[in-house]
Amino acid sequence: MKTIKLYLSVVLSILAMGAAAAQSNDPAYKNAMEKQIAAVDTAKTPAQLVSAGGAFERIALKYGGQWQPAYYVAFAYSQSVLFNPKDETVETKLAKAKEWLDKLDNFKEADKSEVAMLKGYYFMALITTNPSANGQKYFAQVMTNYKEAIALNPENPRPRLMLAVFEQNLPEFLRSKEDFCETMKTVGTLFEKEQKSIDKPYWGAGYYKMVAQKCAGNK
Amino acid sequence: MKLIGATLIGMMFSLATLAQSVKINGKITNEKGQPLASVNVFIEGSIDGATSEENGSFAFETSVSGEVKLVATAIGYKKLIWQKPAKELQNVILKMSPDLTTLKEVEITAGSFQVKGSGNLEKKNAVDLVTVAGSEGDLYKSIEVLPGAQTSGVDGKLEVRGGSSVESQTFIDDMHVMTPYSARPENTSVRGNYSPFIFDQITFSMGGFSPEYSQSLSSVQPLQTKDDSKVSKIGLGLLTVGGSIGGTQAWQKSSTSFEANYTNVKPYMSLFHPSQKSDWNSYFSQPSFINQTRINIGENGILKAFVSYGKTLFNKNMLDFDTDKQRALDFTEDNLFATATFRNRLQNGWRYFAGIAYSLNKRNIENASVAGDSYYGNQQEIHMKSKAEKRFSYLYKLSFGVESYLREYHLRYQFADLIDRTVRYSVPGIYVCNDFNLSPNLILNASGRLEYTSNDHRWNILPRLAMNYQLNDFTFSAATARYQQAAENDYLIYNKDLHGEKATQYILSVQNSMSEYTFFRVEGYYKKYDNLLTGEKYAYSSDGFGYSRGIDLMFKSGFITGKNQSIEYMLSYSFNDTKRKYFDYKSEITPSFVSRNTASGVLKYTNMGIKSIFGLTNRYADGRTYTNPNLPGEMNARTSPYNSLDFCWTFLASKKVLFYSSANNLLGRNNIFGYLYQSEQGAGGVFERTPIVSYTRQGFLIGCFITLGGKTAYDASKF
Repeated sequence: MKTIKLYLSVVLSILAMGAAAAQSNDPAYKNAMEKQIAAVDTAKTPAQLVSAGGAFERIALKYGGQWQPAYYVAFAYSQSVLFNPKDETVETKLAKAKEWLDKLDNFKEADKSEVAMLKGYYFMALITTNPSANGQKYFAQVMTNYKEAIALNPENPRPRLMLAVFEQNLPEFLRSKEDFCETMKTVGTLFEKEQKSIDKPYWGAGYYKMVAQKCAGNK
Repeated sequence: MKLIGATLIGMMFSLATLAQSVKINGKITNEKGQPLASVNVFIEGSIDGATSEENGSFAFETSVSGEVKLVATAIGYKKLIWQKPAKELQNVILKMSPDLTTLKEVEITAGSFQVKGSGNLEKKNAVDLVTVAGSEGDLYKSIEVLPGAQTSGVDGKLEVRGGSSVESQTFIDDMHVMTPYSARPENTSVRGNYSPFIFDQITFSMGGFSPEYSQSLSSVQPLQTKDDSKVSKIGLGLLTVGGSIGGTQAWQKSSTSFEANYTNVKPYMSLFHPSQKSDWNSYFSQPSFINQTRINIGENGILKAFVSYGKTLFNKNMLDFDTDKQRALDFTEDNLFATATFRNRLQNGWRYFAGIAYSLNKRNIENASVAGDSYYGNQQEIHMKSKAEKRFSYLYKLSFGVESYLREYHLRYQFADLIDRTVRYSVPGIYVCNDFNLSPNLILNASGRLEYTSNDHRWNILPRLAMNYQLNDFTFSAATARYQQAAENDYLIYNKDLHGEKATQYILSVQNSMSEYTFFRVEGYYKKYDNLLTGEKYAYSSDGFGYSRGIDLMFKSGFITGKNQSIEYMLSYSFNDTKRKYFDYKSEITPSFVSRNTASGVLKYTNMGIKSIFGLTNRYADGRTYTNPNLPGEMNARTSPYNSLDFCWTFLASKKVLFYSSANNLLGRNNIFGYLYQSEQGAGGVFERTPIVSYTRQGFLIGCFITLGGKTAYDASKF
């Protein structure tokens, strides 16, 4: 009897420990995530991003133990603002992004580099809604978060890419001394090395290719 | 065996039938039946759902069968849950109602400027304020270029729409600041005690303000400190007149900021005004510090503690124009302000606030008015306040509060005789504000305040009525309100029965935001004063009266001039007509602090190619009234007009180093603010006079701000 009890307790402990992992291995979760990540990757309009954001929100509510859906809600809404910063619903979208960005802070297992990257991305979206007023105010937040993301994980290509792009839109004296095309080379290498998995954000390779075209003649 | 097989196949068929998806569709609208886009509609506990289209429609399939909960969520609306069998969820109409706890409030604009906003999308950086030429980095001086504010007098204090500087009050986090200016020697422009960089929201209200703010007849400046400061940093500032050091330590749920300043004009005076060295026995100096701590409590609660202290010292030789003798004025002042506030928003929509503030101003002056006299003044104020508000429906919002001012002033003046007096009194009050959103374009505010003044044992009712009407890009606004302010302590100490001075204001305004960068505003006003202080030589009463009327115009715009280059400009003009029967004047006069016509032009040129922001401001004001005893009557003459052309240059040397320089009165104009006349007639029966002018005709300021923290850039704020 003791043996059975011990056996059961071990099994239950393993089951409890593995609950979150089990969620991520749930085919429904995996399928839904893959489908929506693809939807975000191929989105051409803000409406498509909002739709994907809503879907990630539903996934996040059902699979509360996972940080990735929460991440993508904030990402999709920030991205939809960047697609059309003058849309009359930008305030609502930014509020939605901020709401889920704040929730991300509660996930201890969340990839800190990706979260810092996303914070920088959110502030970048905020700046585009009113560059003259918000630029001075949030400029430092963008830079700080991207730099923090790089420091936390030098292998993360997204903050390197977004920081370089952000600096391109700044006056020359505000830019770092790093050569843009050299940075793009590093970013390209990092994207090539990156494993595509729903466990970790992997967006950005397509955008990188578009941006890196600028350096095509520099080889 | 066959039977078992058939049964199993039958069961599988049944299960497959059960697992067939159900189509769910419908439309989402707001409470008025208008379609709502981007609403997340889903079956609770599943990921099956959709986002509504522009026309409010949605459609999706679910494998969940039986009784389900259909959920709709959207920012600004209450979560909607429908419980029904899945099969019945076709062509459903879901009507969502606004979440009143997140409704964006519309402010009545009459008489008010949001100088530095708090909304995410409407912000002005403190840099915008300090890069106005003539501001010298000072909060009040940057406000003085706005229409309605008078071009400052010789003391530099804020004077608004025909009111004196004591009629304007400053509030930090909604708590009253008794002494917002730091003391300066005679005929020297004062500065505000607080840097604009400390605040997240700066509002300048020239009238028609909420009855929440009491003890002000003309204007209030509510300043809101930052709710949080998430970046730890250290900053250093070096100025021609001193230096500062400070920074912020941020934690997950709290942060604390500290700044220590030291001002000493000795190097500046020695460099720019060496001939005036003999005036000073001890140069003006002022050590000061500010500390603020913010703690987030629960989901929406925030506790803030703010304390500032400054000590002012100088010893300066003063010439008595009447006797032609000098006296060494020895000045010491201690100025303390401390406040603690807590505010919270509950799930049921109630917001509440509680705060307490303590102000102390202690002055010791030897040879204050005449050689050999001694003045000691100790003013204290405790301000306690509690308020709550809730929006009950789209139509109606209620806010109310209770507060009390407890004041004490102790004066000891020794010359031939000793005057040793103390006055204590309190001003408790309650207020109620009712906001009605009569339509999406029309809002109305009906509110009132009941206030008691313990010194004269009087109850006062102070009503307010205000409205805003939005027509396309135009906002029309009107307000009328009555305000009260206790007589100044310097007079109450001789007559405790003085009544509160009162002003009834009427304001009409129209403003238009023509584009993101272009804005204009026209505002007319009429103020009627009662119970103004009258009398002289320690015999005072409250039977004065007066009026102030005028119109303010403002236009601002800007355009891009090239890559990383832009120009912004603002033109403002104010006309004011004021007369008062007050103090010891025998007739209705125009006070010396009022100019009939005031105009200013502000130009800002930003060129990031050379890392610079240049500012140019010209301020003009008609001459001020004064009494020439050689002529009949009172306030029978005017000074020549005031004009000052000011320049400033901000240079972003690197991400960690900023330079700021400014020069006032570039043309060196000798601006005269009035005249002092001898009390006895001189040769030929003429009263001799000397002009009242600024101690230094021109002013220069050079500063360097260095950030030592690693995670911030181009940030002059230590908070």
